[in-house]
Amino acid sequence: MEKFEKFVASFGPLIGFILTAVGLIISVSNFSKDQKSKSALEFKRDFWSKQSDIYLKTSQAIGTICAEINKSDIDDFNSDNFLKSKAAFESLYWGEMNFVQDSVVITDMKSFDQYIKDFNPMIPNIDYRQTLIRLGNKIIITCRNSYMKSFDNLKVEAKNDETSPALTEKATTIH
Amino acid sequence: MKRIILLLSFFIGILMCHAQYNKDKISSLLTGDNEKSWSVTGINTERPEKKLSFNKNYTVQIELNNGIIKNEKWSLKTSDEIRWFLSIDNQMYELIISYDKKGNEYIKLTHQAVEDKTSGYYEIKLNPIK
Repeated sequence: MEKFEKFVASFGPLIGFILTAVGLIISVSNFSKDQKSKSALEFKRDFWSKQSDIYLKTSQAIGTICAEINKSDIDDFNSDNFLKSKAAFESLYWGEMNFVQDSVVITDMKSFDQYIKDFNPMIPNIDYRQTLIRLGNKIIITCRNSYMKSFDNLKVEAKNDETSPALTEKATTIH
Repeated sequence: MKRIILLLSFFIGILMCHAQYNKDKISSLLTGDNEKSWSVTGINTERPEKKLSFNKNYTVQIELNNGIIKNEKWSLKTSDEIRWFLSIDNQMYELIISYDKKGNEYIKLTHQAVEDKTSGYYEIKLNPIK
């Protein structure tokens, strides 16, 4: 008993110090892990938001192009509107869309780009116009699907990490 | 009068739903009544072909610049009924129907060797020979 008391008296502070140090190290490591996963999720959220912005801009450009193509009367055709949106679309196709690297959207955009490159508003051929409009609609739908898919992936990751009120709020707005 | 307008818009709606290029329309554009010849121009490439003659029996006669004539098969493929692909001698091209500034119809064939925007990419313009 005396030996034990002696042992506690001499090694007690050391054991206490070691236990405190171990506790501190574990807390720091957990905190750093948490921070890393949080910043990874933040990065993904930021990327998703940029991606959605690119998809939205692409859809807007295509929408204006299709609205002009859909005008059967040549007098109603707004050449300025068409050319502006065509330039916006081409800039997205050659630039920002590569940031997203969505091969399905890019392939359809390439085809759409070929069609609008030398679109002739004087041509009343309905097949010609409707093919272009349908292709435009297809790209918009593909953009939407890709957007939703990446959002779902983000939601799954966020769920694994933590329940994010901001993300849940966005989800309810989208659905 | 209202009924007539309603009926008319209904028919226009139906027409609009079905208005787009399909296999029959593209085939008859390529082959004409039975066979149609097209002159070949490489847009961003030199092409060995000078003339292509598409026949309704899915054969295509390829006349090369050096005078040699080859006979191959052609076919049309699509996965969405919107984008059409023309296959000639195991070579796949995306077929795009277009019009020049004068309103003359022509066919643009684009070929992409790899999944890249620039490498291995070339375009061919087919103008109908009258």
